[in-house]
Amino acid sequence: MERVRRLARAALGVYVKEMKIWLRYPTWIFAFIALPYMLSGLFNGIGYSIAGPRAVENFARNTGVSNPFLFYTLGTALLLATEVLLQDVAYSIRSEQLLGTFELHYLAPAPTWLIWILYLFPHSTIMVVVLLATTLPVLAFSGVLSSPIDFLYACSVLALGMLPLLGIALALAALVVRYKEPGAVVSLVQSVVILLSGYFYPLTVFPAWVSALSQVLPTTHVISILRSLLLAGEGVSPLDRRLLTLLALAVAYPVIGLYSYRRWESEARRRGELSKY
Amino acid sequence: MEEAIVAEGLVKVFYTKERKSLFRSVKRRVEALRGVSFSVRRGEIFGLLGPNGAGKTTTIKILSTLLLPDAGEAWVNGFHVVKEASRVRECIGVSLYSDRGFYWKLTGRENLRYFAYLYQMPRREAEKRINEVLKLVGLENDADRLVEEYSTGMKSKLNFARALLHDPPILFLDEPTIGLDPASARRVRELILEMKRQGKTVLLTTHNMFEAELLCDRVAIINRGRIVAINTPSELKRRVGRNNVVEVEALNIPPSAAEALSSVRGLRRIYTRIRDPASSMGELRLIFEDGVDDLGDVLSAISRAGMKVLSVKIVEPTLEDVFIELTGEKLGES
Ligand SMILES: Nc1ncnc2c1ncn2[C@@H]1O[C@H](COP(=O)(O)OP(=O)(O)O)[C@@H](O)[C@H]1O
Ligand SMILES: [Mg+2]
Repeated sequence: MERVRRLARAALGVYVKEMKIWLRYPTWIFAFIALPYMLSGLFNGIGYSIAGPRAVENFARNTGVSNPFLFYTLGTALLLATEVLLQDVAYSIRSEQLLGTFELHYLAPAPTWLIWILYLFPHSTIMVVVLLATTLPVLAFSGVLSSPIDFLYACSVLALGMLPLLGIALALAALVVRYKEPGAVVSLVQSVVILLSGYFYPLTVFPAWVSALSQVLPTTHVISILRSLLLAGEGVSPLDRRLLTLLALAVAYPVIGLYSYRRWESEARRRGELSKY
Repeated sequence: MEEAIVAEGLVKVFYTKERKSLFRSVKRRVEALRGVSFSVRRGEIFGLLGPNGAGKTTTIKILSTLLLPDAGEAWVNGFHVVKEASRVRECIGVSLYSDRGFYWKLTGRENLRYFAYLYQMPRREAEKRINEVLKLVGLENDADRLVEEYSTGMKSKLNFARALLHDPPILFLDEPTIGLDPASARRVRELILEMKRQGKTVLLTTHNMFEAELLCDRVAIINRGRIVAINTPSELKRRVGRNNVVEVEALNIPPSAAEALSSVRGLRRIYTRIRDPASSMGELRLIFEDGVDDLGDVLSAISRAGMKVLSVKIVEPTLEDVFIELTGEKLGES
């Protein structure tokens, strides 16, 4: 109990510090507010230009959803959440390395991997607030938010789907501890996840082997369940295959991620890499 | 337990690459520590004195759990630095570099607060302690400015304050005054002595022999990953002997001055320091075997080698003389 209380203090410290730093570099907020709508507009534009006047009809036939704007806004919200989650730990570590504060965290008794994960909370708070502010009105206006229970269910699916991403994020963090500059690998992983999750199209547009591959991504299942719940108005049983897969990934990926992070971390302590940047 | 810090046979080898060009590199093995052993008593200021690359920082990093040794063992406050790393972390305050390691967009106080939380201090205790350390280092008036506005001296004070946050009984300070203006350096030295008065144990590193002499109860001289002597500064200097060191100020000192004089009888070592390269003006430091009876011979040899003597003094040995005596190498400009 005392241990938990002590860790909670460290968590509070990280939270307050990151919020302050974010608020003192305030420009990112505009990007967050504008992005879901801008991207949704972008995809609608591309769609119309390719498919012409029959675009909406085609879209409804392919996706089973009649409102493309809603479809894309939900997709973009998830895209933003995925991007932030995948890159946040790696980029936080990177910026601490450059500041020279990375190594100092190893002088404190709290486990460092936990500290890095705690960085997600301040960043997620801001992201969730902004995303809810942008997507909730659209969802409410379109009448899809029929019951608050459905909405809560959707939120928990989302949270469950983020856990495996955390595992991938830790594995990326391990690479930063080892190779320092995370940009290229992080973007690559982000692109693969976004391409194969089907945020903006049903995966049936790809050959079968691509959809098979996409099954290892948690986000594929998340978006599929959310569409059933929010856009198609179908119920999803707790024993749904997609939900069970998600649960398995939510255990497996964090374990792998944590293992690889701790391995590289002790390797870094052996090689004297903690102070390098 | 009597000893605050014990190191036994610490060995550390780094494998690095020498970059010859963009695509070509050669593997290189750097033996940073080759069996370093020493122990530090409670309440003393212990100095690791040695030139750049001697292995001082490596030693401090191993003792503060940031680096794993390849061989050897060490204990801090009775805890093993590898097996009980988190216990060690609780009882040490560490300062590694004073110009980096801060959040620019936070104030000095907010920086300290963050680290206090990382150390899991309760809020009220943290606030009280932050005020105490800010006052101790003399930053109370600038505590609420962003660190991006701080001067080098202010940053080094903040760094010191951070090391003291959780009131650890043992302090590790890596080159605490490097790069500081004289006033800030003096302030930091006063703080170190104040820590000793408070009963803390201090392990510091320096390549500045005056600093080691001024601050340290005992000094370990380290060179190329080995400790070559450990003792109090005055005992170390006794090795060279009083009345054995002569400083000759001269003009026209050739690069080969030391060789030119090496055959003179009674002279154990000689080294030069050029002060003004244009006129080759500087000092010859002569260390005699046993007394300065042969000084006359040496002075005529100096004249024969084409140098012009400006002054001759018999001086007290310094730790630099000790270093040269022990290693045959210069400590470097400090
Ligand atoms: N992380 C590292 N990787 C490779 N070589 C290192 C590393 N850290 C130190 N060294 C090398 O080890 C030797 C000792 O370094 P260091 O302990 O920093 O010396 P000092 O602090 O006495 O100047 C040097 O030759 C240095 O280049
Ligand atoms: Mg050093």
